[in-house]
Amino acid sequence: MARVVDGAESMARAEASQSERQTTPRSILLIDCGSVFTKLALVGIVDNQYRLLARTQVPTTVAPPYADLLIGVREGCQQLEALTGRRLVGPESILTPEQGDGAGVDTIAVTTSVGGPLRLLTTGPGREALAGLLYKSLGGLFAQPEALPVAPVEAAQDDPAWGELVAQLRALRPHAIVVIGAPSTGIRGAGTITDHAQSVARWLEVLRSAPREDEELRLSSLPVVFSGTTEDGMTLASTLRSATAMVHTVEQLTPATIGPLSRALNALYDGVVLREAPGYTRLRSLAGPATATLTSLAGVARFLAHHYKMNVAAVDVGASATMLAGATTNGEFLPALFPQGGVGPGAGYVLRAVGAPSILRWLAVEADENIVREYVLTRILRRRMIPTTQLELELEYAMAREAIRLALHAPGSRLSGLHPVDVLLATGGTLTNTPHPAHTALILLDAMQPRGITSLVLDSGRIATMLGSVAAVAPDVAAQMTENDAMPSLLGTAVSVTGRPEDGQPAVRAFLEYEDGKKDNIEVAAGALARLAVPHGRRALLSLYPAPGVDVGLGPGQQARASEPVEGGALGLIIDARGRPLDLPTATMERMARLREWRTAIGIGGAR
Amino acid sequence: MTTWALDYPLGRPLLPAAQLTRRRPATGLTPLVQPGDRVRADQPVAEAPDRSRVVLAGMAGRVREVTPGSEVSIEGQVMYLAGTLGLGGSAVGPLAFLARGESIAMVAIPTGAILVYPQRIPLTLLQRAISGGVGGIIAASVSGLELEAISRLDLTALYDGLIPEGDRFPVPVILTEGLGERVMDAITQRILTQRAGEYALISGLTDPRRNIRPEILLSLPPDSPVMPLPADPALIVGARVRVVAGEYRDAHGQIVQLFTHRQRDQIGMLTESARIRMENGLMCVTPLHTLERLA
Repeated sequence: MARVVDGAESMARAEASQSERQTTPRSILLIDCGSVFTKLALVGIVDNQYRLLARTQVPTTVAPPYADLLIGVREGCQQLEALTGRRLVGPESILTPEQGDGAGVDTIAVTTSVGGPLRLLTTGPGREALAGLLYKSLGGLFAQPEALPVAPVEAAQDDPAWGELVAQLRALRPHAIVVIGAPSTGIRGAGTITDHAQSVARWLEVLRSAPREDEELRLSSLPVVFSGTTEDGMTLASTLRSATAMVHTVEQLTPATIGPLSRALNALYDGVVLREAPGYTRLRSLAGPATATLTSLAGVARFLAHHYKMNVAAVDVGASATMLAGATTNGEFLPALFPQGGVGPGAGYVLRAVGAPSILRWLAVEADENIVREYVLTRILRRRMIPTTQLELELEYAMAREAIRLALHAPGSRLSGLHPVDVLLATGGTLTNTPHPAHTALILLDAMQPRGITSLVLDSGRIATMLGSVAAVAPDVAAQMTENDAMPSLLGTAVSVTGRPEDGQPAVRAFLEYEDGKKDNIEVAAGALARLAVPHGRRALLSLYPAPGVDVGLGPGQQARASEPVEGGALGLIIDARGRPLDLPTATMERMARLREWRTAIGIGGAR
Repeated sequence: MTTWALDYPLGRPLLPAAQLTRRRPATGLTPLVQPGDRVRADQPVAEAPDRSRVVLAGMAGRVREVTPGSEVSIEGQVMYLAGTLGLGGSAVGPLAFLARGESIAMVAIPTGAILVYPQRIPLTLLQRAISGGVGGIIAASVSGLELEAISRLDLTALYDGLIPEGDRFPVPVILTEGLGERVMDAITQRILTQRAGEYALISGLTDPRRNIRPEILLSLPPDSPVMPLPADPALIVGARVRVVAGEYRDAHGQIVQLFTHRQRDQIGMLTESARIRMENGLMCVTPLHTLERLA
């Protein structure tokens, strides 16, 4: 873990030195190239503080009919021009640096998830033994690792099982193969490097032969990244000499050397994923290399955790990927990613991963598997579409819950073990544009299932995912923006209790004491959800009296009195006494009734 | 402020006249035409040595390229209609409708034709049409589970590009409106009805990741004036649009106002929206993401 922190610190030092080389920017254009929309935000100085001046979004133009990312960027700039009256685009390109008349911007920072994740096939004698370190090295990268099985020496061409395996691997559309060398310590690896090198060579040959039309070029020169000793690297390179164009060897993976593999894969992401996106190369020449959205979100989570000395988790349910970024008070970074699953074109991945019943269980209205499948297919086929009916909204938020849970419990994720989560930040279009903020709160509580006291915060400016890229060029700007615009909206304070009281007793009693002496209290039964409004601008001290056996975060039966007052917000105080893990009734009618109860309790109007 | 409706590879779902080039697969066949030849839509352009198999041009136009044993490339002026989703490869045949008033369990299936069914196509008819030897099927919609059942495919995996079997479906199927209970768009239905009996080239190939949509190509007379491609997909004031989702689904109209600020839609979400004058003269406000530009 110490090495992860070291890695983060060295990155911060690199960012700081980069920023020292630049003059302080007067204005920044943030561009987030997503899989469905390109989002742009203009940042400038207002009252000596960096503030969000305007933001907009346009459909991505990465696919036909335009097939050029920059067309969407230019259109977005023109929309910002219309909103702010400031000229951003010249005859050729975006104006930079800022001109004497205020036109243009000093800095352009790009984040992206376009093109999807870096899809990696992982193998090697050390892959199993060093899996934990491998996942740490992938932490913060927009990458999707999949295990590459050892190829049989003589695979029968007509063996259906072999044919199916080859088809599956081709369908993954891998960008690279990562070979993890044997661990250096006493742990024995699985097989020798020679065995694995020969297996990789066979795979490269199979993947190269008769590829699909669109994959021909890439699969013909699939790069291989090797982490291990120089000697093993030479063995691998020698075996693969005729099979691939590139074998990139980095230091052996140990707790002290996670960085080299991470950097190599990050470079690969820029080189093979992003550069495939039409127009990216020209955008890169304008703005420099893009930061993966997850990496950017991670930067924001780390900043918040460091700044507030709290455990923070940021949640972004996107159209094609779901990203969580956790950061602890001691600087530990806990990313969690479902790289191809979201609520838009990525909905199919969520459905296939969890099945229709898992989606249906979150619906308070009657629906069947056909409805779920048709909705998901429609979202795959109509990429820009968002819900237009109450049923579609229910399905969207059910998908969001499952996508978050898939990310939270993805292989290598340690975020699910983070307790307490002091701040839960919701960002991205799905969570920030809901008909009522209670939808966002309930999705977070249902999916993340925090324990103890958690501040639920909404990135209403929808710029959190862009700010990490600013940190690379201007850390002060990112810090001010995060405080001023990325986290301005407190949804409410949630108290999530665990354990069950004795029969007939309330699970917890909560007291609020306002600064003007006014008091308020509520008793919440086990299995219930309740809300106590705390108006905007009001502050109140919170006291919690759990029943014996019920834990509000300090241990079973332990009473709690907050040292800091609870701030007023859109929802106020939420008491979640539904228990952990959250169990939904299995009987359909009972489950739907319970879901409606919870929605009504938290303030979602019209819950039927 | 403008935004785009980018769901279609050529910019719009309906192009009255466009110049397009399409490759007709002729693997193992002998070409019957040469580059520069003019062809009709129903004209054979390649055939098997024993004449057991013939490939028709599908579209009227000029032969651009011939790769013996592989394909014939034809360029021509066509009316282009894009579907929402499809299955299977390409096919050529005359457009045919079912006889009215007959039970779908009994009605005669037009063998070799492209069957047009302007409503939700029932599973029984889908099965009968395929086993009855239609060249292809154009329907308004279908139940998702029924389409998955008959194709034996997980369509989510297919459209995510994880399984390559989509083009191996025995006949091309094109759904103009999509899944569920939908009736064919009035304009699409009118065009197909007017062209009944004429040869069409259809393709069921669908790949949302690359914005490849199923298509119906109807030949136009040579030298018809064509529009530049891609057609402008901008949702601007004055654009003729159709609504594909939400409260006003299936309505046609014209954009009369684009709101500068997002508006609350019927379920309470803030969305970029437009005011539409519908064909019946009524005005409505609808989110931009529900609009497709027609003209």
